[in-house]
Amino acid sequence: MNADLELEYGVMLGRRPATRARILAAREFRMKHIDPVAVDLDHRMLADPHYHPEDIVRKGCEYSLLTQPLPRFAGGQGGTIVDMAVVLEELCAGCAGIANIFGAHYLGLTGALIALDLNIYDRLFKEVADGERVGRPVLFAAAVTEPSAGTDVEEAEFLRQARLVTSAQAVDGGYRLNGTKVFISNGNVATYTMVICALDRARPVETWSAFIVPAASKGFSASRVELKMGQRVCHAAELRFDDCFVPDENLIGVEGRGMLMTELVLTASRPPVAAIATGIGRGAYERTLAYCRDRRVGNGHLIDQGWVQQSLADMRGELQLARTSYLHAAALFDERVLERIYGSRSLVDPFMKLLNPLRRSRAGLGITARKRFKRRMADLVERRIGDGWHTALGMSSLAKFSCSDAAMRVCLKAMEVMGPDAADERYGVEKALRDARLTQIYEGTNQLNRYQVYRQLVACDHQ
Amino acid sequence: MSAWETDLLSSGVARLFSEKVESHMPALDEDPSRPLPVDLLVSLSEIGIFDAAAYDAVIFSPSSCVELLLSASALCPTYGMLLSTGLLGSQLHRQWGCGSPPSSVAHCAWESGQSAVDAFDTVLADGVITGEKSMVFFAPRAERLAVLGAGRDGPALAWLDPGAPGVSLDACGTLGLRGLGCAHVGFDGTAVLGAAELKTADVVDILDTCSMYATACALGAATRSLSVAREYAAQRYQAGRIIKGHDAVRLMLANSEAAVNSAVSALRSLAAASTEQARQGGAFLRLKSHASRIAVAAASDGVQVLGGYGYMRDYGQERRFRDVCTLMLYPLDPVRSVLWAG
Repeated sequence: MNADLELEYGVMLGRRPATRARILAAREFRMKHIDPVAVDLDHRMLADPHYHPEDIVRKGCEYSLLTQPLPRFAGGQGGTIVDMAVVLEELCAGCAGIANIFGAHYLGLTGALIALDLNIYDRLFKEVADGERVGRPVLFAAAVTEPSAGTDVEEAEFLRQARLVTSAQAVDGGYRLNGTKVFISNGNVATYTMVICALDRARPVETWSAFIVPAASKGFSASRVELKMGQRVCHAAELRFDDCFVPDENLIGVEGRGMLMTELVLTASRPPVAAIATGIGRGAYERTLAYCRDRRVGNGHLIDQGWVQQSLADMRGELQLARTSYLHAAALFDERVLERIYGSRSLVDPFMKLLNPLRRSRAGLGITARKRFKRRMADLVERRIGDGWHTALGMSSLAKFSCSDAAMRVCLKAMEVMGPDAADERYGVEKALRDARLTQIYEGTNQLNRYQVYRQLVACDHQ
Repeated sequence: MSAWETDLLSSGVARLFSEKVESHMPALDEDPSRPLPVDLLVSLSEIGIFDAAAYDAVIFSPSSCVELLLSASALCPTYGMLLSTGLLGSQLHRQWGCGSPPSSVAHCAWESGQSAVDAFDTVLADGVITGEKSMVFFAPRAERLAVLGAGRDGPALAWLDPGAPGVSLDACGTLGLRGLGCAHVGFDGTAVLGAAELKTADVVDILDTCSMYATACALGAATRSLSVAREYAAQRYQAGRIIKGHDAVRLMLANSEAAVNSAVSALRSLAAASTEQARQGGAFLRLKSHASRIAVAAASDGVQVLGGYGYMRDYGQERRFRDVCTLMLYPLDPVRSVLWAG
């Protein structure tokens, strides 16, 4: 890693002291708490796939990692998507499995964040913030994928024909969920899971809705934890809902607006996933560089050889381009979505903080009044973001597939430079390859991402 | 060996042992400390592999080796490499062996600081060997070690008992081929059982043979990975239709299959032009450099078509991908294969 942050992340850091501070804090966390254990922990997960590094997540509280994306008026750090992305790159250079525990947590928070569901801010986000203050992590997860619908649940056009198994039925006082969600990161360790499903599987797009399901809910269970090739430390669980009751107050926003939320969540999450990939690639590059410097070959070192220098330069180039790509996508989202929802943070945060006691005192309002308030906030969000988010979705998808493909190229090149030693798990480079491979699949396969780029960017290019 | 024997051997081995392989190998990948299945080894010795008494009687031509390993690795790449160790052991013994032939041999070549194909820090002098070898597959299981090192006037091949005083085996976890077992092997003034002086061309020849095996194993596994992906694509429904109908999937599979088939053809042609005695001067090393990257890309596509399921250990695709990536590095990575082939 390079101590010159402007060189790595761009001169924009000069105008963003808070982002710079976040990078340094994440880097310190990685060096102190991730690097020393990453390889051993990954190996341990082979024998004990249910192990969860509670101690590391608790340490994350000391660095405010759990509240990064929450607005300051909600007790958080007020981080933007650019901030999430750079933090995740730093953590992933150590271990993507550990980093993705925080990444999946951010994903779970994003739905309610974007919906501006202040009721959830006041109850659950406050719980995250309070828990972090006392070193008691409260984790979130996001459950969208179904056994026969992966790509299909990420795109409205495909959702219409998706073979869904999960649905929510409105009942007195709330909803009853039935079905299964699969490959859910943090699914079995999260305190709260954002579950997105249809109220009517025959009309999924029109009835797509999001709920917060507490882990303690009756009828909710994590029925299995998958055995993954990489990113092992972050569990991917299968979640089952058997007449799982969710109260009205845990509906995020408004019924039937879940598809817009899903697309906005994906637009928000793809730059950080691109950053995850970039971080993994960077970790492979750093380990390879250290190996090349240490390894004596003949009368010199491996790094003295011309072909090695060319290869390292290639890797460095790939990573720099990848970073540029995800930072651009993240900044675009911040400008076209986040800032339009929240407005100027320096004005909104103190204003909303002032309103906190008033808003919380109205928590005892009846459900009809609360629903009306939520609808108003959802309408406000839609009005303010307009249609500008579509191009942000295209750019997010572009960043995601570009960075994940680049990460794989970097990891494979790292293996070629190190030779047969690269297959030895002790060096951590084969782990980087296994971790990077997942970034081409989750958050939309790279094929879906290319489809989004065509629809949102290329199709506009030839108008 | 006649054509029908070659056919019988390659397809018969695959068919006869498929049940044993498919029941044993995944468990070995999960826990490399498990012993190799005895019934499988007995079955293999019946056709002359891992049967020391048959080393001079049963000689597989390069073409037979390629066919055998293509089909064995389609079942499981680790199984293919297991057969490779048997084939290599018998060949090394036939050409440079000493004393009674061992039933199983681990070939120790790579050194972490190696600068050229015949530049070894491991030194053989006066019947004693000192040095270190990295990433020796099969070392924890082999009856004998065949070690390349620096002899008096050039490279040498030394034979050792893995349990001899001064030999240290430091088992290591690997990306793939886990069922074979792997170790870093140290020699601290170990007495050798025997040795042979080699020329650089002999070392290239040995690595060529290893490359031929590794290429066949990698391409066999890649072929199977694509075939599994094709079967899955014919059933999985996404985006309004069976996914084999989507251009993205069709192209991915078609491009990979074309690349793999070309590489297999090249391998078969080179094998047909070879005999155990005729030197190829690094031709297999050079072919492997390109073919192994093709195999990795194909195995990666095999994972991608299955989406999330391709990434999970239960479904077999991720293990093929890991094994093929590991084969890309054996006996040398693609860059060193080309630079050192001569």
